[in-house]
Amino acid sequence: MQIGAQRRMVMNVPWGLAVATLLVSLVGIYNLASAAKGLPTPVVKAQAVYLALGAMTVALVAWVDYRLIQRMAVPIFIINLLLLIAVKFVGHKAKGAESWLVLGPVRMQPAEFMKIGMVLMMAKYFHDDFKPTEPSYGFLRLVVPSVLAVVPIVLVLIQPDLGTALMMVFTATTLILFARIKWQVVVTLLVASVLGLGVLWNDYVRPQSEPKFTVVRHLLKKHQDARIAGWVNPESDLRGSNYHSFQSKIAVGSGGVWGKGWNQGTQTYLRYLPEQHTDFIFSVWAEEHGFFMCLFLLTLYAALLFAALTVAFNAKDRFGAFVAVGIAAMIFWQVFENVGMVTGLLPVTGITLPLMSYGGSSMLSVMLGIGLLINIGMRRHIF
Amino acid sequence: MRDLKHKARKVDAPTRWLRVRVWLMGAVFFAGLLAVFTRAVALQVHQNDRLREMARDQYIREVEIAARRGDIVDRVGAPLAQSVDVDSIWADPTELPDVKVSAKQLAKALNLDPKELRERFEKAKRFVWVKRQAKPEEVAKVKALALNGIGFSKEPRRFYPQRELAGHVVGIVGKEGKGLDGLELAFEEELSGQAGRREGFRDAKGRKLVTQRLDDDAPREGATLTLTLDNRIQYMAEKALARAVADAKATAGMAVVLDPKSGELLALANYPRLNPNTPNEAHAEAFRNRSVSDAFEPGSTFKAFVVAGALEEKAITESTLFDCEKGAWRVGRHTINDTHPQGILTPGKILQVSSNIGAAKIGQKLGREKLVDYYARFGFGDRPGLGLPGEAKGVVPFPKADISLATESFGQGLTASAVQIAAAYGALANDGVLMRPYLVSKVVDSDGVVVLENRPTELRRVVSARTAKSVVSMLEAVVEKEGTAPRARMDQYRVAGKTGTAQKVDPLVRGYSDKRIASFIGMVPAENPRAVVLVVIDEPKTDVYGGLVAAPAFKEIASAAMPYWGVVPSRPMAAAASGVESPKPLEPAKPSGPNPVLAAIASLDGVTENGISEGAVRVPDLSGKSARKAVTQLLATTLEPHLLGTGRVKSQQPRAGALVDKGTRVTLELAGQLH
Repeated sequence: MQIGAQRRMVMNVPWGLAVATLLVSLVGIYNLASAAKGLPTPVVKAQAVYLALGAMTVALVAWVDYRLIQRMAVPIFIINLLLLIAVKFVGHKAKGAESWLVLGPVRMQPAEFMKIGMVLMMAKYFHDDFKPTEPSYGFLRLVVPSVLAVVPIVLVLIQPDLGTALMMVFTATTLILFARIKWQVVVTLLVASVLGLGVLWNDYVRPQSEPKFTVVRHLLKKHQDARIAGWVNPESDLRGSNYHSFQSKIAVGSGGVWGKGWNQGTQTYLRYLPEQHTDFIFSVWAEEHGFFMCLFLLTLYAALLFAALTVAFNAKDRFGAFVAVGIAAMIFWQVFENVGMVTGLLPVTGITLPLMSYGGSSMLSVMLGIGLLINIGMRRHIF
Repeated sequence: MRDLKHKARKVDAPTRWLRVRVWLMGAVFFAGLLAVFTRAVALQVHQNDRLREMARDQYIREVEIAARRGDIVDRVGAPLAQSVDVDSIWADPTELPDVKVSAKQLAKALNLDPKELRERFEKAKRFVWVKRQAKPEEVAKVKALALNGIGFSKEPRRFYPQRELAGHVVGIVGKEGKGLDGLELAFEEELSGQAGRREGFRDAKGRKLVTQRLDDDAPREGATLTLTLDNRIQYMAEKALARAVADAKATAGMAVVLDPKSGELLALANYPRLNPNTPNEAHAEAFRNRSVSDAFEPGSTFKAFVVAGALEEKAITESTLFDCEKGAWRVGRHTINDTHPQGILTPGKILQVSSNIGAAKIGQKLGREKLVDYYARFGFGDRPGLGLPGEAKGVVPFPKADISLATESFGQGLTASAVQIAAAYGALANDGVLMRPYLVSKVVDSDGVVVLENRPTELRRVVSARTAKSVVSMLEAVVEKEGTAPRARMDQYRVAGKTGTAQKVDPLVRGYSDKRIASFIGMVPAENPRAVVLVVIDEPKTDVYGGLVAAPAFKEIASAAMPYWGVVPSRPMAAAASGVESPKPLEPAKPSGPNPVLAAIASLDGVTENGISEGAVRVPDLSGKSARKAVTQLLATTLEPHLLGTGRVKSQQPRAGALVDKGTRVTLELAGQLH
């Protein structure tokens, strides 16, 4: 029975997910080889190491029964919160953001792991809180999960890491929407979105005479404000706040249908792209390989997400389903935000492209998520 | 198995709505990915061209590679204008070890102000010129400092190895290497060539990375201009002119040497001179190429044309007699005067003594229409077409009044440029055929293709050969003792010439001032002229007569040019019996050594003294000089004077121009008589 169960578990491993993950990662390394040309650090080698570590992480996480992880969700959440707070005090500054924690030779970004911690915590809450008699969530029952989301998001935001915080907001919202909510909540959320758009319109679009009446704008940091203003008006200030976005659009657009060829990207080679090996990695891919390869890469992500949602679809329990949805949402929002950013659809916020961007923490956090998905997927027939 | 699964689902399976939500979520994800995908389509397909262009715009930098400017050379290929690559020194202040110390060191090596240099370093980002077009020894000094962040780049610089020689003709170029005057301006297009382009990449920090690809746009070197000028003749002309202007305490002067048979200009000299290497230091007056661009009232030199026209029209013969009215002749309300009153004269005599009254009467015989017509046929009132900027064409007004007819007959009341006068005398020297004067003989581009070639061109026959010969023989009398220019007489060569002493118009008071333009134009040897030499002295102060102030300069030029060309002497002379040793050809300063700039800067003293070994000197031409002047000059050239007789120098031994050792005795034969 035990052996049979194990064989079934191996059979039930969502291989499509594993293959898609591996493919994206390999494409990522191939792309990095071009993007990181001329950088002092051995980026490609390091990324390969991270990928290997990531694969081990996947195996490890997949092996542990996720119900154990479910029980550990609270301590994991708390440890992550503590790490985030620690970063605020002993963090290593990189590009104005205190998001690195240095432990000997290891440098990590706690925010990357906080995402997973938050998903686990929220999933556990929605699992524990399930009342068959009262399947829909009203405002009161949403207070706790909201707090569970808001606390880490605020901590990430004050790092400051706007990109990750935004992505966590979207992920948490997705999870909350995924739990059945009452129509009043839906209406409230719609009203809030409309209000948000209204604020954006008021603060950035509406022509105003001095003194300007703004709701949020004066609270933002200068560079954040400039980015949003640039996003609203993409052809303005091309040498200033819109420089990165503009250069990225040039890179993507000049790639055309067939691309300039591997190692041939002029925007990449001449360093017009900011953070070309991390946040703007998609521009490199788009410039050098063109439209069809972008389609290919997006299709790989779509396949990955499809596999993730399949896991959620087939998950044995609420916790599994919520975790799978959370991970899928996390990956989706990150891809969407990143590609949206480099193509000028969304404002520039620092965020990595899962599995493509260079970085150990980013890679490991995605791999943790993949491991959880496989874990849930392979255990769909157990218990 | 099935049961187990069923049971498990029953226990804790996500409910149906959860699955619906997963589907919904999938739809949202798909929509999101579709949105970014659409965006990629918009950028990569629809805006591709625009964005590709934008990318190109920012990363492609066309690096212009200046073409080497073409040379300007004299008729034998000796350079008058060259382009040389000169090192410019620049710095990247961020790479300098220590801005303060480096600035001090560099300033010391380059003789700059250390404070100013430091300020420039501090202001600049990654590039700043330290010194452009630095001297080779400065470059060596800076290289010896071996500083990081210092770079050198070659910049072409225009350089005139002969300095002032033909400076006006050659012209000047500006800082940006564009011609501003003279031939440099007139032939800018040919000389400048075509700048090459090399595509370079510019990275986000603005650094240029020049790539090696594409060579189809290599720079095309400018064309080479070959002039008709002869550097040596030009040098002699400039030297003689400078001396004549100085001797006469004049303000300015010009000299033209022309080959009458071809129309080639062999020398175009102007005073004050202009060194095109340092145009900034020149006085405003020095920029004018007077012999080409100044039209002035020529005076008596025009009488020869009147005589030629009248002879051709058979209005007079060689023996027609004219009453020269004892020096004063009333024409209407005006009176025409001669300097020396004369009686009854033939046309030849009229030219010899330069009688205004005689010339006016010949002009009367010729008639207004014919006079103007002949002047026009000799080329006056027409631009000579040398191609130089600002060429004067002169004005010959139709003489309605009798007095105008009279004055125009002796060259007043009309204007002409020196080149025009020389070319017109060229027609007389060339048996009556006017050749088109020219200065640029060939323009050859860098591929050896001849872009432009000027050949001797007959413009028209002005007078018959007989008439021309007749006038030339009359002009020979001018340099005889009884003529106006005995100082132009040469011992070995027959000279035909004419003096001119014109009154200058005072632009303030309408009328003539007491200022004069003295000129002498001669052809030599008269029996078969090789050269027409015109010397014009503007506002002479010591003497005003062309025969006195301009004729000696003519003689100096002709005396040097004849042996240089190896022209067979017209008549054997006692002094010449010792053998015709032509003076050593004067070598133009040849750029020697690795750097022509240095070499030329070293040989500041110009062209003549090259080729003369130390201890040897040239015997100066002392003929006609007062004893005192001759002795001073001999002593100045470290020669020992030995005088025979009193008065002015009649002959000398060894002859002028011979190379002798320092301290050699020079015997001067003096004669009491004054010219």
